[in-house]
Amino acid sequence: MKDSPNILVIAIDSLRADHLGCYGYQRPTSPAMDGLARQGARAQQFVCAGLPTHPSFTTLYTGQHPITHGIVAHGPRNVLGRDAPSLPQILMDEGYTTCALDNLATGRIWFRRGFEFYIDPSMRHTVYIDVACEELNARAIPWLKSHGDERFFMMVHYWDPHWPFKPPERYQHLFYDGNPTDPDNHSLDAWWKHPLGAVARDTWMRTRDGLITDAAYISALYDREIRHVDDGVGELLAALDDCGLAENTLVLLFGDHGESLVEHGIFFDHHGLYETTLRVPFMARWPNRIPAGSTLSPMMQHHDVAPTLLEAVGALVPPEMDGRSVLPLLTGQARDGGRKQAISCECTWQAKWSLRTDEHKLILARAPDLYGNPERELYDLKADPDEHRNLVTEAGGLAAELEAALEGWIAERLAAQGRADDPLRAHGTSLNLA
Amino acid sequence: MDPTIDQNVSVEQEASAAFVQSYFDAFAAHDLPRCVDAYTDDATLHFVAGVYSGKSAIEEWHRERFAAELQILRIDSISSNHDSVTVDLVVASKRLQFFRIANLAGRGVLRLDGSKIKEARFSPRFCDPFEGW
Repeated sequence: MKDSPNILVIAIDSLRADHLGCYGYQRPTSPAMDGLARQGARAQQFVCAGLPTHPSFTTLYTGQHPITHGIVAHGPRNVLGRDAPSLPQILMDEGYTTCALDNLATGRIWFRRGFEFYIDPSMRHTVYIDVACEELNARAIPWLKSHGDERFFMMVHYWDPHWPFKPPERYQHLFYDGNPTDPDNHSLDAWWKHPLGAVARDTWMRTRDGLITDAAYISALYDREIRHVDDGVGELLAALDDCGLAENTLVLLFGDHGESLVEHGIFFDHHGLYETTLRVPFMARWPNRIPAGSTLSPMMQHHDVAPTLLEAVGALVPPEMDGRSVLPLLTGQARDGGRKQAISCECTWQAKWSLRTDEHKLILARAPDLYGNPERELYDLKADPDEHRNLVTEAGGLAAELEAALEGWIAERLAAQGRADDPLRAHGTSLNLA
Repeated sequence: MDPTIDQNVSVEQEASAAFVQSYFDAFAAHDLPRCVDAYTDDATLHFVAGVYSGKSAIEEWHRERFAAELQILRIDSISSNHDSVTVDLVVASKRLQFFRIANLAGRGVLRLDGSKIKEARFSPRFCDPFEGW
């Protein structure tokens, strides 16, 4: 334990993988994150297990899939059990000084478990997601300087790419040169009919120049926010260097979930179990342990993070954790591993399960969605990576096979916990459709 | 300090608070002309992260709130400082109900220019962002 590394986890809200340079994006959104990826390992298929933020962060900390920890949506109807494992708590018990720069504990107290220091500058805002990376860094960097001689676990939760996208003025020149409020542009008209769109139309879509009408402008704002948070990441990593801590710090960076921009008619939010929202960036840097510039193709999920970190520090992984360590993959000690299937769920605006393999994805609805999509969707991720062509009819045999695998997995996991109810059915969505 | 000046300030602040109370009374009564008339011609209204500039946009904002059946359940406090008045209140609406939010605490900060509102800022007050869910 004496030589175990410091740990810095950078979790970026609403960050989809395919809008970063290191994942092939053309716009220069992510020079700092691209640099981090070059210095370590990058996962090609890191799949969110539970949308949106609360399920995802609970999965991160517990090392459990949402079907186990039970937090399948925002809202208080489900509460995390006291007996759920806690990564920060275990690290604290292992002698780490633990620190979170976050605000989730304001809403749900379990997000504070195990953190000796919980720093929340969003208390200065009336809307907690308005907290900017500069404010978090202004508190994280002095903390690093004053605690750098201790073994630490720091978790920084940046919110910048989460809507409403309001990047600082200095990013205004990037990625767009049209007229955001052109009255002849109707690219957002479909969104106004959606309940979330109606909220956006009456709030952050209103500017001094009028109502924003151009979807491409909002997508550019999202990219500006990525560039914004990327500068924040760069500043934090530079501080780690300046403190002489980079060599012995394992840095993980990932998105908690992605973001749908306009795809599948889902505008600027993180629902729908498509690749835009499920596939997030994941990168890990640990000098002299993780080979620089490696790219990992096996599927991984957020519940694999806690076991990975515990293995890295030489701690036992509690048997209650569902995830498995991917450290051997990261360090190059193993080439095979990862998941043959990644199962995900959402239950805030929609109630759906998905089962993803390297080649296909089945999406199964537990309640009608607001877009009129079918109850079952099947996509060929190799031939149709944007998931446009639902194959559920023409590849009915495969769809049935994947559905049986998914239902079997759900039934098995529930039986193991002595439960019968599908948590998505039991919880219901957070929309009142009556 | 001259006590007369203090007293004048207090009287002005009371008048500001009374003006703002009358504005919220008009809002509660869905009295659109009175609400809009409370603003200067070049006023700006900030609603969460959105901006409504000018009387026409501000009228539209009020129409939208009335259509959403926004109700002021209670006003917790009205306090004034120089030319601004801060109002803490609790609201409910059809739209909030759709998101299973029974009610929401909010804050309005209104900057006055004489007897009109020059700038209004309305925002939720998130102590527990998911309170009521």
